[in-house]
Amino acid sequence: MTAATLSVPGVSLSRAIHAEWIKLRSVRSTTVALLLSVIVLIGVGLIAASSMAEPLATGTLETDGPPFQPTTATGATLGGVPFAQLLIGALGVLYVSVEYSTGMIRATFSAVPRRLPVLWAKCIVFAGVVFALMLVSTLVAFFAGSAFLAAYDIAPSLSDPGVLRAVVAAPVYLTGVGVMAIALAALMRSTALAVSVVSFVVFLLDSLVGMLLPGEIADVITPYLPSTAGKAFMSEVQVDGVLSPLPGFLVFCAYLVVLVGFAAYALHRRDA
Amino acid sequence: MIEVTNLKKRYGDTLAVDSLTFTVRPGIVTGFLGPNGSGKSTTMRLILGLDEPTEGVALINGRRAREHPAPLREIGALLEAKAAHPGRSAFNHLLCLAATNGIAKRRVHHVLELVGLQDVARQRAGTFSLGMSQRLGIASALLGDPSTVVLDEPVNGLDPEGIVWIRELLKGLAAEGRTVFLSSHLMSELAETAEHVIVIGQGRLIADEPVDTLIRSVSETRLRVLVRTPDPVRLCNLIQRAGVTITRRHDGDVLEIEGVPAAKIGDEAALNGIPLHELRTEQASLEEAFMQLTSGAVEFRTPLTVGRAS
Ligand SMILES: Nc1ncnc2c1ncn2[C@@H]1O[C@H](COP(=O)(O)OP(=O)(O)O)[C@@H](O)[C@H]1O
Ligand SMILES: [Mg+2]
Repeated sequence: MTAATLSVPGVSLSRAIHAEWIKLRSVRSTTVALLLSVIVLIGVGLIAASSMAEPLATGTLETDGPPFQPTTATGATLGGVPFAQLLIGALGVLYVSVEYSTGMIRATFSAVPRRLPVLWAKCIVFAGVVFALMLVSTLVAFFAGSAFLAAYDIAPSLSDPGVLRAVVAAPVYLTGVGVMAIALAALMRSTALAVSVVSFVVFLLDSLVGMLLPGEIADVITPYLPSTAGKAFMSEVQVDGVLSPLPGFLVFCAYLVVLVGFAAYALHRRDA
Repeated sequence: MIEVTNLKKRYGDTLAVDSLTFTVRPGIVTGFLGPNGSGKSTTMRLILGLDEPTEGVALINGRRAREHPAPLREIGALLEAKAAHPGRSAFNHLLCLAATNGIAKRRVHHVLELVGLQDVARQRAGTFSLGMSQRLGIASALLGDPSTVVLDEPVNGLDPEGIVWIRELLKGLAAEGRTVFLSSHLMSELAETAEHVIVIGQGRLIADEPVDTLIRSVSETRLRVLVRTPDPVRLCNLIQRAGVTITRRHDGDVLEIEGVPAAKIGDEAALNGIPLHELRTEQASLEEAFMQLTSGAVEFRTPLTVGRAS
C-alpha cells in the first residue's frame, strides 16, 4: 500500500484487522490468558511425556482412558492440546462477547456499520496470533517431551511417518477451536452460554456420545464430531473409530465454515 | 444533516418508533425530548444503522450509515456512557476505533485533550467515574471530526461543572456548522442548549419547532389560578362548569383553578360576597407542562369533586 492510498479515509478489511489487533493486545487479561495457554500446552505435554514414558516403553499403557488421553509417544508430547483448547475457546468467546456485555459493540458497529469486516478481522487476528503461539509451543512441547522419552529410547522424530503432520496439526486444530469460539460467541452474544457450548463441544461431547447413545449409532456419529475429526488429523497413527487425516481435516473445516457462515448471517441481519 | 422519513421500529408487540419524520439541520443544536421509553434511544440506533427499521429510512448527509465509506467522519455518537472495555486504556479504546476508519493517532491525542482526559489516557477505562466515562464517550463521538454528532442523554450523571462544559462544547460544535442532535427526558436540560426541539411521546412525533415557540405555547396552556378563601365550597359552585378544573390543595382552603382567568374569579367572588384571602396566577413548571404534553394528556382533565373529604 502506498502512502497515498493509506491516507484515503474509509473502512477496509486491513483497517478492521489493525483495529482488532489493537483490541487483542490492549487488554492485559487477554495477553495473560494467551500466555497461560502456552504454559498449559507445554507443561501438560511435558508431564504426559514424563509420566507415560515408562508405560509406553514397556507396553503397559492403559488404553481405556477418556478420549483425550494420549496413547502414543508423539501423542504424549501433544497431551496439552485438550486443555489448551479450553483456554483458547474461552478467549475466542470473550474476544467477541465482551463487546456485547460492555456495549462496545455499538461503538464498533458505528465505526464499521457493514459489520462483516469486524467478524473477518476478529477471525484473522485471533487465528494468526493463536496459530503462531501454538505452533511455537507445540514445537517446544514436542522436543522437550522427546527428551523424556529418549531415556526409554522411544523418542519420536519429525521424520517418522505422520509425526510432522501431527505436530503441525495441533496448532491448526487449536486455531480452529478459536475461530469456532468466535463464531459461536457472535451467534450467542453471551459469554456464559458460548463458553459452555465451546467447552462442551470440544471436551465432553465425544465422551457423552459414547456413553449415552447405543454402540452402533455412536460408532457412526463419533468420527464426525469436531473433536474426533480433530483427533483424526492430529494423531500420527490411524486410530480405530476415527476418520483418516484428510477427511478428518475436511470435516473439521466444514464445521468452521458453517459456524462462521451462520455468525456472518446473524451479524448482518440482527440488530446490534 | 439527519433526515428521518416515516421511520418505524417494532420489537415484538412494542411499537417503539411510530412513523417518525423529521430533519435535523446543521448549524444548531437540536434537542430530542421525550419521557423515558418514548423511543429516543431506538431512533438514534436506527439513525446509526445499529438497528434495522421495520419501515422507513434514516439518512445521514443523504446516505444510510452503512453506505458511508468512512462513517466516523460523517457521524459520531455517544449512546451509552460506559461502553468501553473496562480493562482497556482510554487511549487504546479510541485508537482501535480510529484505526477502523483510517484516523491518525494524533487525532486520538487531540480528542483526549479536547475532553480533558489527556492525563488519564493510559488509565484503564474501568477505573473511570461516570463523568470521565461520559467524556471518553464524547471523545469517541468526535474522533472522526464528524459533521453530525448524536448524543443520547449525555448529561446523565454529570456534575454541574460537567453539564456546563458539555453545553458549551455542543454549542461550539453547532457554531462550527455541525449538526448536533441531543436527547433528554428533561426539558430543563435542553432549554439552555438547544435552539430547536423535536418532541416525541410513545414513539410518535408531538412537536418539531424552535424551543422558544414550544416553551411559549406550552406555558400558555399551563396558567392556573390559586385562590385562598374561607368559603371554598360556595366559590366552587359559583365558577364550576365544563372546561374548568378545580383542585383543592392543602387542608382545603386553597383552590387550584384552571380554565378561568383570575380577574373573572375575583369579580364573581366580590359580587357574591365571598372573601378571598389570596388570588394569584401560577405557571406550571416546564417539566410538568412537558409531562402533560408528551403523555398526550393536554386535553385530558379530571375535574375533582368539590366536596371531597380532605
Ligand atoms: N432492543 C429492544 N427490544 C425490545 N424492546 C425494546 C428494545 N429497545 C427498546 N425497546 C422498547 O422500545 C421502547 C422505547 O425505548 P427507548 O428507545 O429506549 O426509549 P427512550 O430512549 O426514549 O427512553 C420502550 O418501550 C422499550 O422497552
Ligand atoms: Mg434512552
